Amino acid sequence: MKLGYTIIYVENVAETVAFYERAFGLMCRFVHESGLYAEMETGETVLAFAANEAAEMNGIAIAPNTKNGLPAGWEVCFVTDNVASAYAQAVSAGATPITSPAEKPWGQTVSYVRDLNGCLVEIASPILKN
Amino acid sequence: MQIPIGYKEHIPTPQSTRSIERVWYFSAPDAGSSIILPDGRSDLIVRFKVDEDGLVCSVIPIVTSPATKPFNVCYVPGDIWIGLRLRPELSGIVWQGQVSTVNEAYRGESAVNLVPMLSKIYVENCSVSKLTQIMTGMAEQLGAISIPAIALNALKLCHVSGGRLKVEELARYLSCSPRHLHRVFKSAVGLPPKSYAAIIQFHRALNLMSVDGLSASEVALEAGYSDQSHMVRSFQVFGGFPPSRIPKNISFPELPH
Repeated sequence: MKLGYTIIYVENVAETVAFYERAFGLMCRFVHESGLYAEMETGETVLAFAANEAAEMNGIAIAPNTKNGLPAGWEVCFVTDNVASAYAQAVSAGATPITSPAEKPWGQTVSYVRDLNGCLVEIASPILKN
Repeated sequence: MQIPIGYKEHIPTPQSTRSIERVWYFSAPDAGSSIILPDGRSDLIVRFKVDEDGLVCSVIPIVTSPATKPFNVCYVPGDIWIGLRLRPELSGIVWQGQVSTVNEAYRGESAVNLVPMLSKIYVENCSVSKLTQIMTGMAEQLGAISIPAIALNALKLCHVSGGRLKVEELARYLSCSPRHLHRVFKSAVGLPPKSYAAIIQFHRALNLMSVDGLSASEVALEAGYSDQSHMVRSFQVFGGFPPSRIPKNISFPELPH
């Protein structure tokens, strides 16, 4: 078994795709004609978005993500060499700033924003291997 | 669990634009009875028979109010129903603000008095397909009525969460007070949000048990009941049976989204 997809349930798939393109520079690789599901071009492990209403179709119940409430206890993390500029781009595209880029004792630069649905997104530098 | 023979349904249009959740059709092959589980929605129904020439006769219009209890329907061969299961937010309009009316069915003249457009079903020499057309045409008119966004969004949240969000949590999601939510929701749906959510929760639990084959304790946990006895009470109220004895002849409206 391998990790194939990270699927985030969202209020509006098209808006979320557009946001991730703007804020994090991703590209969309597939949108289902129903508009209820889309995949981003993220290599072998796919970041995908599904509409909240698809949860019920799949027989699952979820606590919907919300911009104002407490975020769910998990995150996606994008890795880049230039955390400061990626963070600035995300925030200028409408991401909610949480913690600005800071260097951790282990040498990694880390920042956090919340996306348009309130989901936690980390923007960090690669961990350097000694 | 089985759907009675002769029962079928279809989804007419995409969710965002439809006023009808399902158009259903039931033609009784034999004498029998079915338990209809509550789904919190109103139906516009026509019950009829077909004469030797294939024309519709003995037409009875029926309007049901949001159901919160199971009920039993008896039928004999030759009985046919065409029903429009309306979106939940349309009950308030159909029942004209008689929001505390639940588990009611108006038949014949009183149904037409409540929903005057039902008079359109009285047509001379009407075929079954013509009658179906008339029924679906009526529901499209209902779709044009605008519903408060808070009620619509609260309904979505009830479905997405499997009925597990409490009224206070729903209100927080919608940035309004629980009291306001309760009032707006009840006037659109005809039921308080708590009752509607409990119906969704029950259907999900029933599905998990009868379709997915989970054990009672697994279902209670996943469906969000505080304990198994809480779940048993819910099954008794909405189904009239305990989880350990799910009857075979219940009609199981697929609760869509």
